[in-house]
This record gives sequence, C-alpha cells and structure tokens, in this order.
Amino acid sequence: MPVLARMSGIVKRFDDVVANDGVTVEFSAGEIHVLLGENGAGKTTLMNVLYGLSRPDEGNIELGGRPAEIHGPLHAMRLGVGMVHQHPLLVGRLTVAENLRLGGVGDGTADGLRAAVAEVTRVIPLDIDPARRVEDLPLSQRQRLELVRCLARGVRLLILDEPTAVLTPAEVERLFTELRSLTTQGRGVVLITHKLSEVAEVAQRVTVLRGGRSLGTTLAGERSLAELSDLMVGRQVPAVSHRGAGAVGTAPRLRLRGARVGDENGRCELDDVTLEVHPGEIVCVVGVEGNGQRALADVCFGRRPVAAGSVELDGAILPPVGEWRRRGVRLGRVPEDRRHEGLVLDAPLWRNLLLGPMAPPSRFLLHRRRALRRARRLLTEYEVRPADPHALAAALSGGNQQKVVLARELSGEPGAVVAVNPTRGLDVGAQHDVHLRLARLRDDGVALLVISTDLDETLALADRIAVLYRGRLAGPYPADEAGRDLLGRLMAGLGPGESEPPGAGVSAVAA
Amino acid sequence: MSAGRLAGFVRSGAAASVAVRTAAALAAAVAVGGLALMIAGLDPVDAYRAVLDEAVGSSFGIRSSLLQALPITITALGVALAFRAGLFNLGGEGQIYAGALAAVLVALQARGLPFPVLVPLMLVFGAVAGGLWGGIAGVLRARLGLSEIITTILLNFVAFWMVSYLVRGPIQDPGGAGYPYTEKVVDGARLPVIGDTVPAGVLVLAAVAIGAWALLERSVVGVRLKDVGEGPSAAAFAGWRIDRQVILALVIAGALGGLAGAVELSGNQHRVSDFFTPGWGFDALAVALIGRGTIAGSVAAGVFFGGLRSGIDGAQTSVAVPESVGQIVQGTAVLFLIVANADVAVRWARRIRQPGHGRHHARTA
Repeated sequence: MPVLARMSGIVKRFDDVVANDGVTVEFSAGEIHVLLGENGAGKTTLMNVLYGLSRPDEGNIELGGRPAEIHGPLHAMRLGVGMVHQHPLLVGRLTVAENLRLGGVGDGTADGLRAAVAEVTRVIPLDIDPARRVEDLPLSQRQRLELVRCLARGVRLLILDEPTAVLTPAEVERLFTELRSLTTQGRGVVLITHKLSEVAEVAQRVTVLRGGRSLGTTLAGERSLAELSDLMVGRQVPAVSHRGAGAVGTAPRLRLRGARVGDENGRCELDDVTLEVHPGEIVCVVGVEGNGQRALADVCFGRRPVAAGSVELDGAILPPVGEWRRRGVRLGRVPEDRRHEGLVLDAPLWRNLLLGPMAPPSRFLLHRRRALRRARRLLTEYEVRPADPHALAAALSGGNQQKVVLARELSGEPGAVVAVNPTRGLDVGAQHDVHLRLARLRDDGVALLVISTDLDETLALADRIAVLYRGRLAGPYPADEAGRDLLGRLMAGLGPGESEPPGAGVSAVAA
Repeated sequence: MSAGRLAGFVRSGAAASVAVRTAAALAAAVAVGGLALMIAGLDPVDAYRAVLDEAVGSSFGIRSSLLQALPITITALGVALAFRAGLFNLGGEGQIYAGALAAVLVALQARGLPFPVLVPLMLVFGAVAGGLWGGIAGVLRARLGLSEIITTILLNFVAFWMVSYLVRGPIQDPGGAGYPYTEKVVDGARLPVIGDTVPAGVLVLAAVAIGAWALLERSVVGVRLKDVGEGPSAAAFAGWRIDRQVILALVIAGALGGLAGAVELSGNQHRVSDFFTPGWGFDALAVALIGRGTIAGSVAAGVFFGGLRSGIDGAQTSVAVPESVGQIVQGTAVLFLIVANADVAVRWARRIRQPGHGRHHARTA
C-alpha cells in the first residue's frame, strides 16, 4: 500500500517543553495505525502538526511522496488529511447541515451538500437530523459529525484523537467496524490512544511515543501487549532503589475500604478498592493513565466523596478538605497538576507555603513576619532556587516548583502523604531529589501512597505495589515479588497467571 | 509593601516602568486633549491653566475636587478588592443608590438624633444596604454560577428604578414642586467641611483605605481572597471555601459602594434623586484599573479623577469650554491611562475566562 504521509525528524517545542523530539513516522493507505502513548507523550501534538494546527520547529512532512508545507487545517483537508478531535471543533449554535457546509462540504448549494453527505453516509451512517443544533447533540454524535465532515471532503488520511473516550462499548464496536471498512476503500486511519485493548482490537501497525520520542513502529502482532505497556510507561533500569526496611506497626494509617466512585454518567471510576498503607512504608499504585487514578487521588485528597465504602486516616473517616484544619487532619498532598492545583503561580512563595490545611494556624491576623521567616527556613531546607520568599511561583523551574509543594506538604509533620506522579515532567536530578525526600519520610515512619503511571518510579520507590486497571485494584504485592512481567500484564488488564491471549481474547477481557 | 518587597519591585523595573508609562499617558492625553481644545477655538494653554486652577487653585476648588473624588474613590476601593478576588463588580451605580437610599431613610426617620449618632448610623446603614445589594450578586455567583459581570449590571437597573419610583411617590419631597427627589436631610445628618476646604468624608475615605489595605495585606481572609483570585484551582485544592470568598468579596465591594452613596448624601447632595450618581460606579471601575487593583493606586487615581472632573466642570464656566469638549479631554485622559495599564486590564480580562472559576468550584468547594 502506498505511503500517504511521512513525517521525519519532527521537533515541536512549547516554551522550554519539548513536546515532540525528532519523531519520524509514516502512515500508509489501507491500514489502521495506532499511535500509542500516555497523556503528555506528544501524540496529539504530533498529529496537530500533520493537520496544520501547529507548525513544527524542525523536520519535514511529505504527503503522497512530495514535500508538503501545511498551512492550516483547511489546507490539510485539501491535501487529503483530516482530523477528528477529542473535543470536536464545531459551531454549537449552528445546525448539523450548516456545520457541514461551513466545513467546506459540497459546492455550497443544498443539493450539493446532500449529495456529498449521501456519498459518505453509505459507509458511515450519520443518523442525525441535519436540522438539529450541534450544541444539542451528545459528544458521540458531534464526533460522528466531524468524522462525516472529514470524509465528505475526500480526506485520504483520517486521524482520530482518542475517539472512544466518549463512546459506549457498542458504539466503539461500530466505529471500529466502520474504520476497517474505510481502510478497505484505500484510506488510511491514524488512531490516537492510550488504551492497549484498542491496539489488540483494531491496529495493523503500532507506533509507541514516550516523552515526545518515537520508540519505533511495529506490526501489531510483533509485540505483546505487556511489552507495549512497558514501552509506554518506560523501562529504564532504575538508577537507585529506595526500598525501606518495611512497615512498622500493625495499624494502617491510611485505609480505603471498598471505596467506590462513579462519574456523572454512572460509569464506575473506582470499583470496590481496598488498600492499607502502614506507617513506614511506601505503597505505589501503578497503572496506565485513565484507569481511575484521578478518582483514587481525589478521594484521598478530600475533594470528592466516595459513593460507597470509606477512606480512613488513623481509623477515622476522612472529612472533606475544607474541614481538615478544624479537625486536625494531617495528610500531605502532592497533586498531579502542581502548576494549577499545587501552587498559585502569580503569588509569592511565602504565600504558596501557607496554602492548604496544614500551614500554621492563624485565624484572623496574618503574621507576615513569621510567615516570611518560616518561608525562608523551608526554602533553604528544601533547597529551592531561588530561596527568596518574595519570588513568584511562576518564575521557578518545574523542579523547584515541586520542591515548594513538597516543602509545604511534607513539613507539617503529616502522618501520611499521598502523591500523584510526583516526578512527572522533572529532569533526572530533580526526580532523584523528590524520591530521596519521599524515602526519607518513609524512614521517619510516615505512611506514603504514591499513585504513578511510571513503572520505573514505582519499582524504585515501592515497598508494596498495587495495579489499577479500569477502576479495580490488583494487589498490593510485595515489591520483591512483583516483577515487571506481572505488573505489565496487570496494567494491560490481564490476570496475573494468564498468558497473553490473541486479540480476540483481549477484547473479551475489555468487554 | 515592605521595604524588601518594594526594593524588589523597583529592582525589577516594574515601578519605574509604571511611572514612565503613566507620565507618557498623561503627556499624550494633554496633547490630544489640547488638539480638541484648539479645534474648538480655544487656547489650550489657557484652558489647561483654567482646569488646573479650578481643580486645586483655591480652597473652593480643592473642596469641589475632593467632593467629586470621594464617591468615586470609595467605590473604587470596593471594585479593587473584588478585582483581587478575581471578580468584576460593575454594580457600583446600584450599590451607590442602595447606600444613599438607606442613609436618607435613616436620616428622615431619625431626624431628631444628635449628629454623632445620626451620621454614623446613616453610614452604617448605607454600607449594609450596599453590602446586601452586592451580596445578591455574590450568592448568585457562588450558588448558581451566574456571572457577576451580568448580575451586577442588571442590579444597577433594579436599584435605579426602585429609587426613581420612590422619589416620585412614597418619599418625594412634599415641598419640592413635583421634582423627583426627597427632601433635604436635617443639619444633624450632614457631614461637615473641615476648615472650609476638606470635606469630612475624607476621613471616612482614609479609614476605608487603611481598612482595605489591612484586609488585603495583613489578614488571613485577604490572603485567601487573593488566592481565589490568582489561583482558583489551587485555592479549591487547598480547601478554601470558594463560594464563601466570592460572596464575601462582593459583599465588601457592595458595602463600599453603599458607603460611598451614604457619604455623598450626607456630605454633599443631602437628598436622593434619580440623578444622584452621574456614573461614579463606572468611573470607579476605571479608577481601580488605573490604580492597578492596589489600595494606594486606587486612592491616587480616584483623587486625580475627582480633580479632573471638577477642574473641567469649573473650566466650562470660567473659560467657556464647551461641555462636549470637556468630556473629550476627560475621556482621552482616562483612555490613555487605561492603555498605560493595559497589562493589568488584560490579566483581569483573562481571569473572566479562566475555566472553573465559578460554578464548578462553588460546587466542589
């Protein structure tokens, strides 16, 4: 089959973040090519470059064998490349038909529009009244509309960005069938996803992206799902192990009992999770992103209630965070999004160190002098650069921002600490510092729960490891017994003893 | 601002650049305004001299300038506080009306009380009425996620028409030959002018400014308000009650608007009409912005504004500057000063669109 698009050496930077770092990949007609990687791996960025939404800083694109410079989405469509976004780019106030016309479908007349749509909908039924307003449609139908719009423009290479996130299992099934029939027409499909089960189900070819780099393209059958999962989350030999002597004491400090969290559509985000974290141990919960990590973190952070079961600290039900100060709850929290949840970027460091329920109590008057003195002490102790209490949080590097969060959350003598991806986006040195801090805290008898998507981090830190898959927890297993193979299988949703079945078996597990 | 922080501010060049930009804006405004004056057939130098003279050249001028500045500046301090919490209080007009109405009702009902009791009572009631008026928008924002930008504006109309009805009926001056205003309050309800130059309302302004500064810079509540304004997600994560902070900020802003109305009633107009405020509520917005949301900046900008207004008003009679040209000169100055502070304007405007600040956090908080 002919190569439809070839991207070579694509580099895309955002300020000082390198989102794509020399990615080379080609997409052929007649096959479904899965672009696999965690959130933040650079998948969408790469495809936005191909779709003309952003310009690459380096690298070349060839379409149909000829070098191409893509000036924008409309230009990309004319060149045969179309993209369906996670959040479809449609005009809510306009009707389905108006959106199609606006998207350049047909020749501008009502008849032309009808003809162009009819042509496409023989393969991909639209099933939507063209007179309805787009804002009244559910996300799944908006996605379908954008899909039809792309196809009606005669797109040869179709990119879909995590299309299954808004679909029910039956709709996923239908979409996949339709995508397959598109490839038999000689079109190419690129499917962006972080779900391994989708690789097993539809992929003919897989490219794994991690940290903005491509880890190579293979045929779908060439690598096992466990291998792909390892590639996705990273498999470097951990530089240091921070294992401890094991838990001290018998009473768990942090405990989830049958915790259940449902999202607004009634889907289960966290399903009957039971987990105990004892003083003096680090328990890591690892898993591919999107398997319930956020819900698990939210209930431990006191920002979301459980629908059933309980979250307990030292035997008492954990109240909402707003009541922590009054009730004397001492639980350190390291959120995943440190820039928005961990810090007030426009505020000086001394104020950031006062955020949250564990800062020194003060009811009405702000003891500014005391707060500054404390800030100076903490910034020095946690080696923040610059150690200036008046510096704005926004002016610090990512590693130093994380140190500020740690200084605040770890210095208040917490009994337990819950951290989510505490080293994501940090350079190696900063990662090491963070791990050292957490290990030291464990040695001081604090109970730590680290929720991570990074297998290396998990293996370096954990005393016990549990795996989160589709809201369910497997384990925890003692770190010595949990090898990469076992964890990889569990992260891919396979049972601990099962050998890997062929694709059909996986979709059965997925269903 | 501590010495260390001030030093940092100056070192960073921020203070210098603000000063330079303000000076440049004023120069540009004088030039463009001068052009307008020339086109109108006036000698710009004479006209500007007259404006200056009318604004600060006599004790009468200073008094008029301060009287103009008082309601604008007090309201602006409320707007600035709300700004710092990430909220836009466009309801100054309505809050001024609410405060003035409450104050005049107190004065009419309790006209026998001695001055030291009656005037504070009027000011307190004015502030409470304005606070309630602002609080309506706060509750709507915190509980239902309705934008305070919309509700505060709409509440302006409600307050205006309420006053308009009352001064044409229930509380119309019986001896006023049918004019739409109340009777004048008794002498014991009037804030005096100290030494023929300084209206006593200046003391109220000073107290408000110090109180607002202490709240923002020296209180736990102030820090939380700023957290909510500068980092709503982080404030929610920290466990700050966003809904409470939002309500509190709009109550305080409204209370200052109400207080401004009461001060103006007691210290200047002495009666409420349906032309009580000529748009001070909106002037206050410009003043708070030119003051970059700071207390000292807002006071400086407010006093400048009052002087400008009263100087141009005076020059209209003394050197026959047509009213329209006076308005052009004034508008030009405001426009250039806002442009000079465009960075703040842009930052605040961006906050309106900040996802999650509002309904979402009101719910999760």
